[in-house]
Amino acid sequence: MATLFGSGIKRREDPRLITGSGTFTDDIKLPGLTFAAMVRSPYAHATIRKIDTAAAAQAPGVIAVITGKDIAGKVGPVPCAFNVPNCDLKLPPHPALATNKVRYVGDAVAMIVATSRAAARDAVDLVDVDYDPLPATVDPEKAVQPGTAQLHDEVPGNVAFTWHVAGGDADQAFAQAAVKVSLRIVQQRLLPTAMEPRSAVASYNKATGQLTLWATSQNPHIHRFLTSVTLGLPEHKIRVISPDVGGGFGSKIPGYADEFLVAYAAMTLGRSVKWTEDRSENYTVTTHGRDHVEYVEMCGTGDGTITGLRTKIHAGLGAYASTAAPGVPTILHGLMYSGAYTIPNVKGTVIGAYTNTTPVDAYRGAGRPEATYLIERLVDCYARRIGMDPALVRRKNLIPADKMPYTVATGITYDSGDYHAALDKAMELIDYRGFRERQEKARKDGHYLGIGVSSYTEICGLGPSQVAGQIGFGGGLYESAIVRVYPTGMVRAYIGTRPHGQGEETTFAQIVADEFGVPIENVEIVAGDTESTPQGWGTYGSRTTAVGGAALKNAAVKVKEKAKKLAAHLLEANEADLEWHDGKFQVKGSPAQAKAFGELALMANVAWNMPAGMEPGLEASAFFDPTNFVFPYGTHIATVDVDLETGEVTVLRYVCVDDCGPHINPMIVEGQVHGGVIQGVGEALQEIAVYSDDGQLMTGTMMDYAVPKASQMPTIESHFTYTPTPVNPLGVKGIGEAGTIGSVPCIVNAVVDALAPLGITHIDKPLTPARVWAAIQQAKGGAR
Amino acid sequence: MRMRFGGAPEIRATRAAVWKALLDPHFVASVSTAIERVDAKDPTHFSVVAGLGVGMLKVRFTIDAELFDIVELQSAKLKARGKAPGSTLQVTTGFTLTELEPSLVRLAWTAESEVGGTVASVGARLLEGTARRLAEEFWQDFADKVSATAAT
Repeated sequence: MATLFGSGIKRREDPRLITGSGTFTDDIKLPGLTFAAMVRSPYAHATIRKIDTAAAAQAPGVIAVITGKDIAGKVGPVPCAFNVPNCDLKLPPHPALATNKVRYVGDAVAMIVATSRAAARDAVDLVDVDYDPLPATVDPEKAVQPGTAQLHDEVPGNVAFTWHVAGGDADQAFAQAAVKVSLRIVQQRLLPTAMEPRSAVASYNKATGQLTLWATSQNPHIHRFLTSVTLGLPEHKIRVISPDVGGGFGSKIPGYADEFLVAYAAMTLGRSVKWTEDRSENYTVTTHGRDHVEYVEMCGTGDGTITGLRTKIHAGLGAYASTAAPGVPTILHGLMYSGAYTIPNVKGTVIGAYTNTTPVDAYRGAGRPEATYLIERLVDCYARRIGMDPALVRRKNLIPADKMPYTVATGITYDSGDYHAALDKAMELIDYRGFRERQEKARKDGHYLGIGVSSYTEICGLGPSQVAGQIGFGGGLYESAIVRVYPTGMVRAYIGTRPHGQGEETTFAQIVADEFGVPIENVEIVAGDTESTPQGWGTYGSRTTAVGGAALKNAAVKVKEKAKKLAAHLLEANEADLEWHDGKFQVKGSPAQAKAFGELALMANVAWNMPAGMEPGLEASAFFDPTNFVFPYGTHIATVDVDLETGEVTVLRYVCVDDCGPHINPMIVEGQVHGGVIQGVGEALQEIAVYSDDGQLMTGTMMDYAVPKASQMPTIESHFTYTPTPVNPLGVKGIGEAGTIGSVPCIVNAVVDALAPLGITHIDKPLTPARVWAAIQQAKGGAR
Repeated sequence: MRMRFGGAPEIRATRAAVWKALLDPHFVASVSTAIERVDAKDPTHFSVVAGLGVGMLKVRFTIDAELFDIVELQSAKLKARGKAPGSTLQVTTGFTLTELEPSLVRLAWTAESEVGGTVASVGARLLEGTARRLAEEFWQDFADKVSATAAT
């Protein structure tokens, strides 16, 4: 029987999901269900003088109007669970419902519970809140300047933390360097825009004291823990179910006030309660991504050896620290300052700032896209300064394969890889040299073509639990799985992660089916229900397969080992004389003497004839805690055509060579690359969340926030190299975020390359026609 | 989101007639179909209900308005703060009368407004244009109506 590992079979979950047959949180219907809607602040910053709920409480269908006063002492502050050490992190209280002060547009001040969704939303308009507006601050750099509006009494100067990272001696490297380049980079705020908005349904059984919470969660076990902490309800009385989840990109990691309030309402009202945000609410209150203002510099020799990198980063956190927020611009960002290179000296300072904006948290790549972008932009600036081709500078500085595993300046150790092979393959595929010639010719005709290279590596497969403890992550980072074999040989596997679009219902079934030599149809993957699945830490940081898949593999191996012992007993053979062949254990040299997996499943489950001391049943659980992170890598190259008259950028070709180790399902890997690249191209060319100076979100709808459309995207030529990691038994690295990480700098580098003859060295993304045109006009000395 | 507008229509009427019209809340209200109601709490404090349409949004604001810095027959300022479900509005307007001829007055006005909440986030693209048109039309209509009244 051919193995399924490596086979690009179609995703088993898709027929359900694309025919409207999935079950999402908002699809949950319960007897006597009520509906919640939130009253939210229209001001970015204001003191609350009075909240008058009388009219709302009397409105038709309204069951309850709940304010901050009502929940005092009953619903704790919304927790932050990434307590990054050694950075003087300040975590001011984040009330689930504001009582004295609102700190961003969307901050909730009251919750309506009514018999219908319409009644709840109508009653929102009847809550009369008397605000006293205060000056607001929205920019992470300006927010920490003196004289700026202050958000929290506990946080002087709005400085949430000041985090340092250093390796080698960057100051000395810069002092001695022949060449230095610097940039001010704005990494704009982004809206994750998962297809499914957030939703929560809560039901409470007074008789048993059991709370059931359905929620759009990437990590139901973390939500169970956070709900327990926030509501003071014992963890074993809480069941969190995250049914089908329509994407998250990080925005469904955090614990939000909304879910806790819905649970509280169900517990106090004795009715089940549902809340679902609409798209504008999603844009206003669901966490955003990025939001950096960066001062970055690189130094090196005159002949292309990079010797140092320094940064000063202003990272916006929004009004409060969301669940994982402090770890994103620090641990997940600054530790990657050597990038894919042997840069021996790095030094960075990250200043976290509270601003009157929606909280920022992980967004596809979370910190690593920001790191890769600044490094890759600097490499291009440095290359241009010394008059060397940027691809050749990369080739000169990439970590050589024979140095792997390689410990970089920040102290982390990259697991494996041949970075040069990926670069060379990408250059060959896009005909790098040929394009340079065409570019030269085109320039003579007044045609501006550009080519941009980005060589990245990223830290993912989060990660060893011991490291989680050291970096202040409020949980473990192992994974677990239970593999249960039924008497008929059918298999259910329960996993601790919560895939929400990444295809693990398929890839994980491939792993199990291979192990047992059974058809994939005989294997079902179960995720998302804390009642049935073992403790896990969720799906983010490209960890599901590298950590969760490894746990699953180990559980399946344990089951098979037991089956082998049973087979030896039933065949009256020595275990050492058995071999696994085509779904059967058979006696070596005597293949007629064999026990198929299905037969062993039956015999183990009926337990009529077990070896002495062997327990009945055929199931096993395994926990897997990796010894290190994994570091996927690759090179992306794009070619662009820039219209000098309009500033419009057309991506001509997009070639990427990624290495995430062996592929369980090549089609799914490619799909992850495609999605990631498209999100990255969106970030590079068109996406930006805009706040007005007084803290109003100007991009509150899909008419204003430019999510990429298929017609705007290039054809992605996705290629691979295959270097296994020694860190897990599957050899796999993550691929969920790599596309986003690799793509953003290569597009911007290509556009700047096209405009280099005009003396343009940098344009802040997104490279909208207006921005590119303005840069061209400025470079030409014309009016802007 | 902050916006600034201004204008200076000319009015064929006496300075006294223009001044009287400016301070008459019911006359002011009659100029605009957006203003549904005006109640004078006292000669300088008013309560106003006005509707604003921005794209697909229709928002009804309840506004507290106050006249201040009044220089008789010359200039005054008006501060208004409005509330609507999920939206906010603050406007500060100043106007100055200049007599160009015995019966020709220039009414120079400026308005600074700040809009927040749903109107800002959903209507941002259309808001500035809509608000500018509303403000400019209002003062032009006011000027026309005072001129017309003076002519009769």
